[in-house]
Amino acid sequence: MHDKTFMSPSRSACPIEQLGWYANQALSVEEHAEVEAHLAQCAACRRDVAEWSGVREALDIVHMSTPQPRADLFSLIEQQIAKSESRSIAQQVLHIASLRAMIVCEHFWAQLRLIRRDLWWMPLILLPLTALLAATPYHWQSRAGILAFTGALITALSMAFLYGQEADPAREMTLVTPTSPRVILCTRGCVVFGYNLLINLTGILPIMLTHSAITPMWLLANWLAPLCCLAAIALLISTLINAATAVFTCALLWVLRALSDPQMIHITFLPQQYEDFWHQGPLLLAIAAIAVSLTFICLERRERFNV
Amino acid sequence: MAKLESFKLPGTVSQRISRQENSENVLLARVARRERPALAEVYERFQRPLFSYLFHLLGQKELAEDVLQEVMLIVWQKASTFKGSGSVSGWIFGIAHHQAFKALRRDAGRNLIELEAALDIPDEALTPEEGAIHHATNAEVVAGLACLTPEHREVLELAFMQDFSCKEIAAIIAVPEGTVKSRLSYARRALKAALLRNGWEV
Repeated sequence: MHDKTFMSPSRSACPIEQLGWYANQALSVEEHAEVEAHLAQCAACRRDVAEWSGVREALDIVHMSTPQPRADLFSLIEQQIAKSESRSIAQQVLHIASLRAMIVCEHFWAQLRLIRRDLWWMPLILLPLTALLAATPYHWQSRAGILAFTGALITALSMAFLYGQEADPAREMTLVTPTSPRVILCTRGCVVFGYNLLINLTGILPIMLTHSAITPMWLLANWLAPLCCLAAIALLISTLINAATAVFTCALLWVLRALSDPQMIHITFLPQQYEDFWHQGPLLLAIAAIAVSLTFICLERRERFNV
Repeated sequence: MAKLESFKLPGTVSQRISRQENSENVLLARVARRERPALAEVYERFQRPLFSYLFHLLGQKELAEDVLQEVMLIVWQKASTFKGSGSVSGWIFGIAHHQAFKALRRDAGRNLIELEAALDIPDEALTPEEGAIHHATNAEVVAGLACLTPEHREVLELAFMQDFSCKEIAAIIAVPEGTVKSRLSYARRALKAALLRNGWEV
């Protein structure tokens, strides 16, 4: 109210903030007694309390003139409860599943926008290579072999560069939001690996369709398993050490493989068992699974040390 | 005055806490065990204060009824999460606060009368009377309240219509006690300014 007195130093000792609560009898016994003692000697505060009491009385009257809610409101509430509880278990499961699916979609959408651009165009090199090979007189098996060989290496490179530079947006996301780095690794890995698999498949598929001799088992042992294994190794090394080491290791493994393959070079420098190793589907897939699990286990520890 | 007392949760804050706290805790525990009659009792006990709070905060009867339904539904579903750290009425009003402001946000397009103009009234104009608000009629006070921001209206309601203490209000609307105090002072000033602007004269 009286703003001139309100601001004046003479009222600086007054319990102005308490007066409203005093008028409402909402102070503790001690506070109430303190304010009462002060009021006995302060006219300004007495006026203030009178005004607060006025507010209280005015609001009391407003409060009392509140209309009644509709009489059947509680039966409406009961109907709503019955409706929410009659939802069958199947509907609830579906509801929860759709919510989860939405969350997963959002994670993928976020990562799609954050992944570094190079990872999108790098695997596309495979497509002109496919066209080039189609024009050569090579046997279908060596054409598919070359494609599988290159495809695996490119996929491994993509996995090695899954994260960008030091200031990767995904990294910042884990720092500023409660997003688990594993979730990011998982979504990002799925996106990049899935994309590479798709591009690889577009290269291999035409050969597969024109030569019925290629069986799914052949594809698994000669194309999918080595690809998964090398990509997983790249992922593990890039997580544990860094991308450059991962690239170097994968390139080394593949150069050695080329050197031990009698089909690629006629004089082999290395025992052929090494090349044969890269055609043992189940074993390679097992190694891939172990490498991916190790990546996920070690990821958190590494994140902690880095932060 | 007797009528007034029966309309409100009876007694002062401290009396109310000691007398009702226990029975309300028991009641809510029964609701948590999915006892429908207990919910009916909660409704019976809280519908008038809750409806009054929602009605004056939201300014529309139908909207207040809708929000009251939502609040009771949440009480039914979440009763088991009540920790017992505060009072039951504080917990329920906290839910009502949350739902009411959600409804206000849904309704954000509606016209809140701008208060800045009213607050520009020079201080002298606000000073001459004593108990100024006291002399305004009921309809004028209602119209004045409608001019306040929901936050100011709410703190006046919780303090003077529902008799919550500063601490309880701070818990209900999830702001520090200091904010509740300054908001209440400001709300009184704003109410007075609104009454003046709406044509009330000494």
